[in-house]
Amino acid sequence: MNLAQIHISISFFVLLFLWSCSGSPGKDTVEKDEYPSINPDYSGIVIPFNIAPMNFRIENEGSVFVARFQAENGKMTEVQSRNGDIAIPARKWKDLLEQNKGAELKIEIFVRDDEGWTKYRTISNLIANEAVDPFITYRLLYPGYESWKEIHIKQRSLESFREKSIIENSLVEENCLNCHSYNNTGHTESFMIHMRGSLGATYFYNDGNFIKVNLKTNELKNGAVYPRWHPSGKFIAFSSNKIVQQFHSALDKKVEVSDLESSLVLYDIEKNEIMDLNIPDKEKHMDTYPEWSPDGNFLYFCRAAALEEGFSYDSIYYDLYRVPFDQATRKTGAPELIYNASAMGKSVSFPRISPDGYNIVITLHNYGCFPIWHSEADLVSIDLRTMKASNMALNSSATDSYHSWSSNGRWLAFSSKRTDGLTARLFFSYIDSEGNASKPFIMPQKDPGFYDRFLKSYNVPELSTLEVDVNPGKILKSARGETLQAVWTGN
Amino acid sequence: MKKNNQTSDITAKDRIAASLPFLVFLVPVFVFFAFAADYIGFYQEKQSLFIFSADYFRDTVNRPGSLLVYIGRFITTFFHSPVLSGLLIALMTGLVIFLVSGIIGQLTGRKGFLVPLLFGTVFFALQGNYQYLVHNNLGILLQLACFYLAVKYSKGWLPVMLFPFCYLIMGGFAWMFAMMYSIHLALKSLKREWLKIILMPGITLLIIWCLGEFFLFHNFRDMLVYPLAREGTGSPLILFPAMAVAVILLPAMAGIRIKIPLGIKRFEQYKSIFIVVLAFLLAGTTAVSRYSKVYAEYFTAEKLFYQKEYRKLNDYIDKHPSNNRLTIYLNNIALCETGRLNDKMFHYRQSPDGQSLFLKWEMYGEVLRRGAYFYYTTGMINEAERWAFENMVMKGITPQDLLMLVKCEIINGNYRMAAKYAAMLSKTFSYREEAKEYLGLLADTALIDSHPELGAKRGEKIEHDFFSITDNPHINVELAFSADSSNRKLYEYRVAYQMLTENYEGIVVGLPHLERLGYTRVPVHIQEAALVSRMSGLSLSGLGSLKIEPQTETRFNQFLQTFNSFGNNLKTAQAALRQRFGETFWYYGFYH
Repeated sequence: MNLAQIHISISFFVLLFLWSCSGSPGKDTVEKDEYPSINPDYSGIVIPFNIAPMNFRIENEGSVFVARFQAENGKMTEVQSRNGDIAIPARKWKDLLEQNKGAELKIEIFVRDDEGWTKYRTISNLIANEAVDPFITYRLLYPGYESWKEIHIKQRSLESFREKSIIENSLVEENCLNCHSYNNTGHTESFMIHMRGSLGATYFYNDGNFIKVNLKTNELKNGAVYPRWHPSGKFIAFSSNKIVQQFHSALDKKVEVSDLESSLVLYDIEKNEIMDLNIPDKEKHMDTYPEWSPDGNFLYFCRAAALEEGFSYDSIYYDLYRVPFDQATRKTGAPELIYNASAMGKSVSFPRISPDGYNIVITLHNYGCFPIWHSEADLVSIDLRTMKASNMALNSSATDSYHSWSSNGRWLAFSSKRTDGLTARLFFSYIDSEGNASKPFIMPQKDPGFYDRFLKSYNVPELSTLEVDVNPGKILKSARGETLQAVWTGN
Repeated sequence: MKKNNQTSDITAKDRIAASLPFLVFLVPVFVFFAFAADYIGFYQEKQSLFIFSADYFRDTVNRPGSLLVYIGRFITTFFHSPVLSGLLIALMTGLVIFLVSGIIGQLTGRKGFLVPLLFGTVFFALQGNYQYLVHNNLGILLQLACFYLAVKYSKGWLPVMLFPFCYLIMGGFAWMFAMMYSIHLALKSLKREWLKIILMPGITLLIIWCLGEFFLFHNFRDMLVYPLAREGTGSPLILFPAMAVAVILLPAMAGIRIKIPLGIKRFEQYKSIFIVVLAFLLAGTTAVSRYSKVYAEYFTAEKLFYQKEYRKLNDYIDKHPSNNRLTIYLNNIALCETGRLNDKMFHYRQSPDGQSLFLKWEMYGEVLRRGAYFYYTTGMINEAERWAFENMVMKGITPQDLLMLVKCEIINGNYRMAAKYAAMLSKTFSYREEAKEYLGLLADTALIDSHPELGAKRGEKIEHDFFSITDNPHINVELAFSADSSNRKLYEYRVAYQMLTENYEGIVVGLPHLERLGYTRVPVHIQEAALVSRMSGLSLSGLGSLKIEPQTETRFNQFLQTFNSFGNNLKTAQAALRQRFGETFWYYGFYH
């Protein structure tokens, strides 16, 4: 026996010894009538069959941990761990979920401590028949106040842990990157983004190229801010806002962002024309957060009374309205009140209609139009057939805000600050045919301890069916190139 | 056998003799950084927080040259201990001398003393700038090491093939090696080595272009030079480029032989002594020229402030008077924390615009890093947290920001965020004790209220909400005090600002607060201001049962008499008034 053989033999016996030390739960396992403590909390949820492995950490005390994943069809998958981190093999997870659409996924957790093995109550999750859109785009930044340094717009595959940068502001003179919006909510890879600073403009990405456009004209009093792409892909409705940011000296919400003025404008992409949407009574109101109905014949928006001298920031209330929109003439009709939040002393923001057009989900909060610092902010679903509004079951005591529908209307992605009260994380909830939301789950990460350390916020999530084929270097060339000036036109 | 022993004795003696000048050089380097100019290590250690975690590695090492920055920060984290900072910088300086000496030895076959010492001197001088971050010298050091290894061990194509890896590790600094090695090859035989000279940078430039275009997306110029930048070098306009040029030309310089005139050659026997003296003189003069009394005093004050040694800080400023606005700002906080702001603030030069009391919002520069402390002291915890957070966003994680964030989150009851920050602190070299303390409090939050600092701050925290106005911080004090007039520190700052702006009416109107806030005597400067108010016809009835002390009345009369004796001439009376009353509100009122 040479030296190498001796070495291999010793290694084998050491491994065998370690294995025998950890072992597997046997007959002497004690059953405990309580659920295991796992982080993130992936229990009692509905999951899409195409989601990435939902790795978690078992937080019960112990020295060896075992998680068994099983469903009606396919093999049981067992994962062992010495530190409580359960890393599920991707291939086995994928097979298990795909073979069990619509079935129950059971997770058995065993923990071994000095006294032996303990089995906790089995976690039961439901595997939905419907897939979630495979990609989600978001902005990553510190949940700060007014300064910024690093801002990245990233796209993450929800079917794996692959995340790629679409735009990084370090490449564009550290300009601030604002709201991104997809054409046709992610069915095409066209999207747009605002950039503020030395290379400031609105950038439209289409067919592998960015076009840099200056939407600000002399006639447009305030810059174009919150966008929403018309389903036809021909227009984008923007709100044009004058925004102020102030800092609370004592409250939990820290930052107060308010509009002093706002109105809605329309950008005709093909003609490079920007125009006022001329919504009746617009002089007496502040209109913001446009949203199109799936057929493109209605424009929804949030409306508050125009500010008067001596106004109080916490008594500005927005209601949800809609106007008919004629795509041929680009004209709007009379406004119709959809949700009277102000009557309840509340305010709405971020209206988002389900792809079937039956439900609209809004963020409801105590006042104003910027709920991300409002811990009371919750998502409310309005059935547009009955106009009945209901507080969604996915809400928490922390901020639940910016949301995005999947293309099949069965999944709602939204940002929530429930994990630590400060940083926004992405959560997903299954929405059934009645519009009911399931208990939400946090976007899975390869490292289950990731969210405990990560200091940045996930901002403006947008689900999409297509992967955007763009790298962060692409925008730089456009940013340094010529700017196309939008033309103001009457409507 | 005996002969062999003799030989080894001679060799050992020779080695000691050869090393002596360098040791004589390095001891002052160590003493300088460990003791005399320990402010350099202190400043640098506070610039960034090295966290022993995979996340921190991933976040920092993300482009060519960033590994150098990472290692630089790793070394800097030990600067928390001045002795370690002295040792590490002396070690790096010693390595530079050793490598330059070794390179000369390899290229010429003879020992050099003067050139290595000169390199060591410039290296020392560069590091003597408090803003010159360690990764710069590390970059230079590694170029010398690469070149030394290249000429000593690797012949042929190996250095050319390994150069792209050098670039990935050292970024823009690697070009120094490329130029050094090209000169070396050219001197050997340009005719034979020209392909290597072209290919070494050529292949690397191609790699950089590919990395920039397809993987990292940074622009070509940034990729080429990072982490070489004026930022982080203290912008030495001559010294740093001179050092870079010297390193690049070292292969050529090594061959130069200075012919010593015959007249001097007779003193050959004193050569060793001369070199030792020269080494000491070089180190000594560099130390003297790089030492900055102003910075030493400022950073000593800041160190005492961070250690919460408030009385020691006041004593230190008494012994080392300063006109630096930031020093006075910290000193005022120390006075307020010990309840003496209105007894002593005019012992120091105050800024009439209030900037020595509180700093105006500034996104860049040194203000953002320090602005939080005033708000923390006066109980405006949200604002303190905002300043610390904004600084973290702008400049990366620093120890003081993270400590401030943990404290603010604990005071505000946001325990989950506090735990997140404290967990980061626990993975550092120098702040594990603090992390342990905070994590202990978070494990049993009932202990927070009895914590000497956090419990007290929680009690002083303002509860009334208003929008903070950071361009005019005194408005924040007014707004906070109007709603929470039981906060004594807010009152101290409010009156201090009123005195700075000579708002006598405001001072007099606020006098009833003294009794209400539990003062048993009127702080000296308020007495002084009250006497001036009374002279202006304002009533001091607001003092209630509190009294102006007789000695203050006497001194005020003496002040007026002295002024009268100079014919009420401000200019001629100044010297005399300063001598006797320079630490009073009255003097400030006349001469600010």
